Amino acid sequence: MDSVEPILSLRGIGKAFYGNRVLTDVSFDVAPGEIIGLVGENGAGKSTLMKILFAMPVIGETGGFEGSIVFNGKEVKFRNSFDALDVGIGMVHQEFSLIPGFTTTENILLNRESLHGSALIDIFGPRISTLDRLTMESRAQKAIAKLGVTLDPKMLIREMPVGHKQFTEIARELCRENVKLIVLDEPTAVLTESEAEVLLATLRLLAAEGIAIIFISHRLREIVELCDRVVVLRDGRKIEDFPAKGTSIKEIASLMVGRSMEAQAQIDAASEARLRQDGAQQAETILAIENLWVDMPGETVRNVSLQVKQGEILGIGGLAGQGKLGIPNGIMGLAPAGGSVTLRGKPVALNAPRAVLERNMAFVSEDRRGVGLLLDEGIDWNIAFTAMQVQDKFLKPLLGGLLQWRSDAAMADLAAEYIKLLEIKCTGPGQRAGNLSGGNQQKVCLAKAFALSPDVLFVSEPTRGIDIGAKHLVLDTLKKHNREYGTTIIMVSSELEELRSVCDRIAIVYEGRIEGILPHTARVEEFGILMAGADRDEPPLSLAEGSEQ
Amino acid sequence: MISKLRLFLIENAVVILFVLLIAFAIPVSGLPASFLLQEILTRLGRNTFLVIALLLPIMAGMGLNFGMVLGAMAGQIGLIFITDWGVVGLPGLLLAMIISLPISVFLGWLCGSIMNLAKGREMVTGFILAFFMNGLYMMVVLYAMGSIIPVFNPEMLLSRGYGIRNVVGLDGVRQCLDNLIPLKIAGLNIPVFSFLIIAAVSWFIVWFRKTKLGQDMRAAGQDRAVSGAAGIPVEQTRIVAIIISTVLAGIGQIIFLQNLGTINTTSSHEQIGMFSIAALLIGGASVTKASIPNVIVGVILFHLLFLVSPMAGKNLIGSGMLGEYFRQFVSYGVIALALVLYEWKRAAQEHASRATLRGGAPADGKEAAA
Amino acid sequence: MSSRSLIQRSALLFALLVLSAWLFYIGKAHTLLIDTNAVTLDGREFKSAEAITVSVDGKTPEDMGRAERILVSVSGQQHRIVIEVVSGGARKVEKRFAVPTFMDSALVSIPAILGDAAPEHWVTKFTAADREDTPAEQMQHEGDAALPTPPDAKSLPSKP
Repeated sequence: MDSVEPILSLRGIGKAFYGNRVLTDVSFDVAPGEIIGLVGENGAGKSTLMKILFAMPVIGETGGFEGSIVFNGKEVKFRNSFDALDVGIGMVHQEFSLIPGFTTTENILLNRESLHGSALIDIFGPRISTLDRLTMESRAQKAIAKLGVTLDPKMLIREMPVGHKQFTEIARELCRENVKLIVLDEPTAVLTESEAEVLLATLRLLAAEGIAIIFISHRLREIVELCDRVVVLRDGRKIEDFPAKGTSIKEIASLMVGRSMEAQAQIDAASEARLRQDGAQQAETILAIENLWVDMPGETVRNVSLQVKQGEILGIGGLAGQGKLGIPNGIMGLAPAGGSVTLRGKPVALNAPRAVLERNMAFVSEDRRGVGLLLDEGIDWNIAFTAMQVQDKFLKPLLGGLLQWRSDAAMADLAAEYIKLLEIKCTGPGQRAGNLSGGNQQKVCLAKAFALSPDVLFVSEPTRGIDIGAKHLVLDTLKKHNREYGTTIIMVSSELEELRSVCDRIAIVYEGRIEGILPHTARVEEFGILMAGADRDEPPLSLAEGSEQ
Repeated sequence: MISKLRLFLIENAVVILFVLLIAFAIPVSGLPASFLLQEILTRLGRNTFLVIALLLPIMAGMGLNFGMVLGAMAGQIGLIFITDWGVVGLPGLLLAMIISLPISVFLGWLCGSIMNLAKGREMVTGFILAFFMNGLYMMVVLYAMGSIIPVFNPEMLLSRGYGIRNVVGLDGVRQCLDNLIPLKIAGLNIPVFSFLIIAAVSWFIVWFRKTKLGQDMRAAGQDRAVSGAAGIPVEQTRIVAIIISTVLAGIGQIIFLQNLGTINTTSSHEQIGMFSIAALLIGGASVTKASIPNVIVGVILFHLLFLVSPMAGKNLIGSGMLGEYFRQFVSYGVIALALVLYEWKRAAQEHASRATLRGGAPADGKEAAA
Repeated sequence: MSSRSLIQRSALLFALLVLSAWLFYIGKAHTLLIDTNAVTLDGREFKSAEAITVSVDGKTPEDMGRAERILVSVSGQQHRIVIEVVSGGARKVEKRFAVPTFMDSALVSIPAILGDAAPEHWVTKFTAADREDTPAEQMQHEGDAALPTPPDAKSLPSKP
């Protein structure tokens, strides 16, 4: 197997942040032209491993790392990311590293532009030379050609579809003369299904030319399809390292999570079946939505009417852009809305977030960084904040009620409780929320909503961008809350399987209207028909795991 | 189509507003067109250079350079020296510019470095820095000159023996640029040489944009993090932008004062930042985007308004003071408007980019236009 | 910084300094007092003519009588003076003379020029108390209480 010298060899990599061990003895090799799929839950150490590879400043500032990196046969000690780039390692990040007002060409060659010579260089320095745009364009075209896609070299980045931006980033890495290894971090997260296919094809092309690829993704289907080998990390260790051929998504997932998925699923199904029989007769309508419209760019709601039953878990599904995300955002006052919403018979004010919160409705937004969290504040703050603002919890009255004083102890207790309950991986209740991984941030958002003890809870894309283990935990917590406290939950999600495993009924939104409502036991094809618009003759879309459409 | 028109109106709201205002005020003021035309030609020659000095910092993402006043101070010091030494004419102006060069470079470096410490708040930093530098300038001009710094011409000093007089006549260089290449068309004096200089500096700006430095500035102006990650020395680049701006402001102030013919030692530089920025904004520029057409349109509209408002005010409501009040109101008002619009646009952009997160890629695959 | 760039930058700096000096040289303004008063040089008396016109550096010619003094502002060192004698025996005298750079006010003696006196007597430094002194003496005191003429002399056009 090891007839070829590996291009990258990680040996015994370990890292601890102030005593909190994050990586232990991780070793694996990458051969030239090989595609390695790197999988693991959030918090398993994937991003830390990549930060070490790229010599990010945070690694050096916190005591360096153990182990060694051998690249192209030589042991390397990178001082900063530029050293890694110089040696031939490229990285495509999840957030696009592009200048919006520049063209494709300008971005591909950012800071490596071709220059005309100039007599002024000696006096004013090399940056006084003018750009040689013709050479730049031909260089860019060469890189684009390697990708096997069509990109307009003159188009401005901000006018580009998301998929093209991703390709521009990759083209930039390719433009370095000596690129030998490219790391891609969740490259398909923002792509449509067809764009993802093109990307995978491109990566295969690149691998065929001898460029090694490390592919980090949660989409196990793509891992299985694309990669030659799979490396699974769990809790900071390398668990397994095996060829992708012959493996299955289930197998990889179970390795990631450490439990047998099947066993788990069986238990779940049994308990669910029991419970659903118990609560089979649902009573009155708690929330009546009539002729709701919501102006949310990209998720317009035109005319939605729903009756939500007390104590149920109602799912709202549908394809991206059809309007399902507009519903909770509109009702909770985050987007302009109109129509009529009644809670227990009494009308709810629209376009008034505080009023809705005071009626004991809560919302876990899909935009956790923008709407859900105070990123600069600690976990305890975040969890307690809304409850404190709206319900005056965690406040001690002083001077006979003149002053309200914050009770930090009560907040810390609450945070500790939820950290335990939801298994939030953190350094403590005071850790800055912005520093948590995506899944843990989601858990904090959930905790914040639970702290309000709401009667109605809207949850929007609860498991987007978080790994399998956390997914299950989040969904279980929702189910538990519904069972124990009778909270009515309205869950909006693009993953149908998730909806079917948690919800009692599922409404499908199409073109801003409710296309139909089905019980969770309905067949997948029936949902597919609704999602595509009941009148159409198209076959129902495939809803395989990991697809977002 | 309607939305396109609407978009055009919103984008150019400020310019359109001022055009309408002026179109109303000109007939009301009763001023003859020939007078207005001549004045505009003169003022274009006088003020345009200063406004052009504002372009590069905007390109570098540092907003409106209120620190250009520092360059104006350097230019004035240059002029004071050549007046003292008795160097006249074009050589005098050139010498003043050369003298102002090292002072401008130093002040620009200082200003840029301080602005780098206050990223995201460059404008207010420049504003306050200008006040602070004003104090230093006064110290130099009212105390050091004549005592520590030798002044040869006692006429220039205050009666106490040190410190420069409040008003310094520039007869030696008065209007020398304007009259260098005299041209008279239809009874109008056209300052050809001044226009040539403006053309030259405009060409410089256009050429500069094509250099690697210019490209780096544009990149750093749009996204500091991405540029830094690509290896562009963002901090240095920003400082260079401010240095060039300060140097141009110094030269621009010299051109400005040579046309006026006198330096008001303590106050000639004070309003110049405000007026130049206001003119640029009236011309349709924003905190993040400005180009040479904005400069020219802005100078014309701004000064037209100045010219007509006293008479218009007098004819309308019987008070000529309206002109002066109006001038202040317009300058500060348009800057406030631009800043508010900038913040509002930024908030809208953030909101829009979050909107794409919510729905994933919208149906046609294009992101919401910023 | 490479040595080549160091050399080039130093050269640029040097060129700027040289340029500045040259600008100073050609731009330094002087106030010329064209004087037709009789002067005595080395025992000889020189007199001007009855009526003359004087033009300095191509400016509009000024009429002058026998004992007058007018002000002309010029810049630079080298100057050209054209004296046209109108009265009795018309003749035209054109001469070039230099004003030292650091001499702010200079007295130009027409009789000395017309009488073909030695060129060093044509231009002398003017100090206020000097009205009756022989202009042959040069005084180089700086900071002297010389009353320089106000720069905004409106009597003569200063534009070319």
